[in-house]
Amino acid sequence: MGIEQWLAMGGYGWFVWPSYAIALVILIWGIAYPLRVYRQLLTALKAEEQSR
Amino acid sequence: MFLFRKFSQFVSLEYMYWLCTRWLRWLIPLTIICFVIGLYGSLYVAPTDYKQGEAYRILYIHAPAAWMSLLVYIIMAVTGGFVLIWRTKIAELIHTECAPLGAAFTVITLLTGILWGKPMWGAYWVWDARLTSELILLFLYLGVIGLGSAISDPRKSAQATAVLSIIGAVNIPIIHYSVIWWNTLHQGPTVTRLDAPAAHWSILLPLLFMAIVLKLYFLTALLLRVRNAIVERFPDQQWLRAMVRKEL
Repeated sequence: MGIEQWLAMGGYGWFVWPSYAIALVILIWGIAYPLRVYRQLLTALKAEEQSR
Repeated sequence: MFLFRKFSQFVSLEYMYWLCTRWLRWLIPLTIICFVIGLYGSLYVAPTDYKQGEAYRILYIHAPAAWMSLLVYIIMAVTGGFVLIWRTKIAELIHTECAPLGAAFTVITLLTGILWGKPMWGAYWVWDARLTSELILLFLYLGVIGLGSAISDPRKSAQATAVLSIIGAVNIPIIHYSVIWWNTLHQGPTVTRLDAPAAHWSILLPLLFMAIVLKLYFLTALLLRVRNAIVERFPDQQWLRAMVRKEL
């Protein structure tokens, strides 16, 4: 099976790929966002401790 | 139940924080690796369906996400019960952090369902029992998030959302049995039938694997959020300050 044929998904590519894209964007955000918040929280605490 | 009660009563926030950090060290890479394997299985390895063609591959993300939307709600309602009965902080944290994740799974379920419905049913959306009750589930999650953020005291906020989530739990059996009770356009259960599942193992196996992957994902995302909540809600604890000072 060629890559183009695979991407076409038997004519359903316009439905299959956006489905997976939406799911991946939401799921990746669900990990990346709390990781960023965690770093921000720790940075704030460090700044507080340093100014003490 | 009993174990969780003991756990949430005797585990300190410090231990919970330590547990989150330790588990996340291997949970994050494991989730990513399993996710890639799951995508490979569902988008490439699984054979083409004889009736739906390739469009059925959407179901590899749709069905596991739908199961998660129900499971996360059940966890949220049960921990909500713990919040009301024993008022433990750990239960409060888990209860509160479940809502956004459940909402995310519900949004994925609805959007992928819409994209599957167009080529297979000829309509993006129909107001049948399964779709409508799943949409109500999204509103319940949004209601829990909204109510929680409207009350500034975190303990009272958790108690209020606990009551709402327990009342809303009536929707869970409605969603599950909607395809049996009513004549819906949505198909009946394929995997959880009383007799053998109605799909060949080569199609079923990637589906079950994706279901496990999303459970792993949920655990990872939940622990990340719980850890943040511990730091955000209780920033003045001695062990936390000592840890921060050590890293300066």
